[in-house]
Amino acid sequence: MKPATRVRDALLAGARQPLLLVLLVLLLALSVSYGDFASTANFRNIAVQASPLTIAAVGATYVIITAGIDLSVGSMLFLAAAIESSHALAGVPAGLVFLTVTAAGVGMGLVNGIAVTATRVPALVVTLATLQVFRGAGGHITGQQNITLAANLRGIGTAAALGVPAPVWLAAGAAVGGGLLFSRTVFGRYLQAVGSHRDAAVHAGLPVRRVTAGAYALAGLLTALASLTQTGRLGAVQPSIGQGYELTVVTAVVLGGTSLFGGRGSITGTVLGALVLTTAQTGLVFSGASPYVFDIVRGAVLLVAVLAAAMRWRDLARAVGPTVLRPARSRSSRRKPAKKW
Amino acid sequence: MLPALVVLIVVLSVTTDGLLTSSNIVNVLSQSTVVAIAAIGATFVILTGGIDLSIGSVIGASGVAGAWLITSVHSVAAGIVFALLVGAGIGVAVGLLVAKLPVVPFAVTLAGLYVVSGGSTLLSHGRTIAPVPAGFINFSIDGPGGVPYAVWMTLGLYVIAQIALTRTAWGRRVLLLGAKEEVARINGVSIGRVKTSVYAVAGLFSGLAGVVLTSELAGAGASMGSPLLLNVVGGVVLGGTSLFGGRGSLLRTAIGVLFLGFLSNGMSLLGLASYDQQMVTGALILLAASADGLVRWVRPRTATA
Repeated sequence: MKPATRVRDALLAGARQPLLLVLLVLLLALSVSYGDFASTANFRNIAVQASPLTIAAVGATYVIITAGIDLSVGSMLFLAAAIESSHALAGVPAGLVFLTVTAAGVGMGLVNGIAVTATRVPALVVTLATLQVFRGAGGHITGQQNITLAANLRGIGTAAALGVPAPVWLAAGAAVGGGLLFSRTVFGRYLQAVGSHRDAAVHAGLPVRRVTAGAYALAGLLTALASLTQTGRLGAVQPSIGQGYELTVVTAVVLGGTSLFGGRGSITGTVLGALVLTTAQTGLVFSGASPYVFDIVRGAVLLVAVLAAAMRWRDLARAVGPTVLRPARSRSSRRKPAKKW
Repeated sequence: MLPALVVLIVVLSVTTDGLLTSSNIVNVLSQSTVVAIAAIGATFVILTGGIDLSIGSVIGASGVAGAWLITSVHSVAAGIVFALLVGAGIGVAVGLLVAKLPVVPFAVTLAGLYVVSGGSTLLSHGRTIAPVPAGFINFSIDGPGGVPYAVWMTLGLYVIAQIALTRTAWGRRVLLLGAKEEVARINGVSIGRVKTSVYAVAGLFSGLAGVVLTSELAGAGASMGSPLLLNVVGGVVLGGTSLFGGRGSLLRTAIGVLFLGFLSNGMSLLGLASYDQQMVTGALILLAASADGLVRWVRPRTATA
């Protein structure tokens, strides 16, 4: 391993650690401020609430590592829920419904992935358009009505095993499986290669398009799973479900240290990011603040996370010297944002 | 894109009744004004290779700000000026962040979207601010020749903006920056200043769009602008302005916005539900955007061959 790479890895590992500290400090501060906060029931509640976000954010991490973005995640969540609650699937055994919804999630992800890879339209615009398509389709299925879910479909959100709620099991599964896929498989390596230098990956003969489309398909699959957990917990499908979800998901991922420029990322970071955001949201509920305050908070957190990442990049450039990475003020760093919006 | 607009109009006039009556055409034009005005600013941002996702929320925020002043001090002029200042102010803030820091514009403007919409909802307590004076509402209803003042104003703005893009030094800098940032820098263009200015211009036009929307709706709510984002960006993209920057014009944007205007009017005449309209619009924007991408994808190959 080159010294430069070692320095970079050490810096990145160090940069990821603070989030755990942030989470602990946040939990401690909230427990001290609000007497009811530090209860088993509340911690359990935070874990359950963070589960769908964690699952969806793990999927978004793959997409962002390829230097892509998926703004349609909230609409996919809604369309998946709409399919789950549709008349066509009424009376069908729960397992089969879950399978159908998951397959639909993969399908939606593939639509994004194929549109991004086959046309090279910026992922931002592709997913901004599919955001409308998926939400419209969901509205078509539900007729913009609130739909109560059949009892057999709610278990995935309300059941528990060994004292741990089902959503938490699923989120843990997604995190561990997602992490292993990322760090231990060829696909995971390819994802990083495609994200850090697409042209180099093409020249090295990697199946760049299939890997990119695969990342979006995986994101679709995990979003469908997030949708199943979310709706199972709520017991109903509302037309507003998933609106503005893209910001929460992207914020969790970026907060976790995954770079919006692609190539670098961490599933552990994403999980911590989702936990920090959910804890902050619960804290705001305890403080009695208006729900719109959370809009401002997650917007501000995204901005701070992006800026922190940029600063980190700058320090990194200084640490390893101009031969490996030119300083942030140089052309190479300035050109990067233009490449990917 | 013009042929596509013609085809759309022909198809819709055959399948629906009354598409090409003069009253319906005025209808399409006046329904398109808000999107058209905001799309002017978006065109400049996209011409530099950037993107502004905060447009919809700035429309809502400036509309609320303007309506608040109009109802509290009873001065329409003061309200309009305040709305424009709020829009331009947010635009400058976003522009400075994009220009001065090595971050992607979409992240800054996505964060801006929620900070602005959350902030304006909070300040307006989630309520619609009304009533505004009848004279102010008339701006988007009445006008010379039966065409609302707002439509005439939009037409004038497109002429001015097109001249600013093609005939002024600033316009040239915007185009050069979008085509090749390196070349622009070497030629002495102040990249940061031009980038800040396009987001400021986008904020200003969003502010004006907020004023016109407030006049149309006879009141303002913080969330009124958010559904417009896709139509604004979609109008620019459908018109054929390149998302990679450097290629495009206001004329193209006008055609793209009109396409969406006729499409939505025609779909309403056909009796399509709002969610079906959403699906069709999204799919068409995706299709149009891919056409642009395909051209770019094919071109370098033919150039090297």
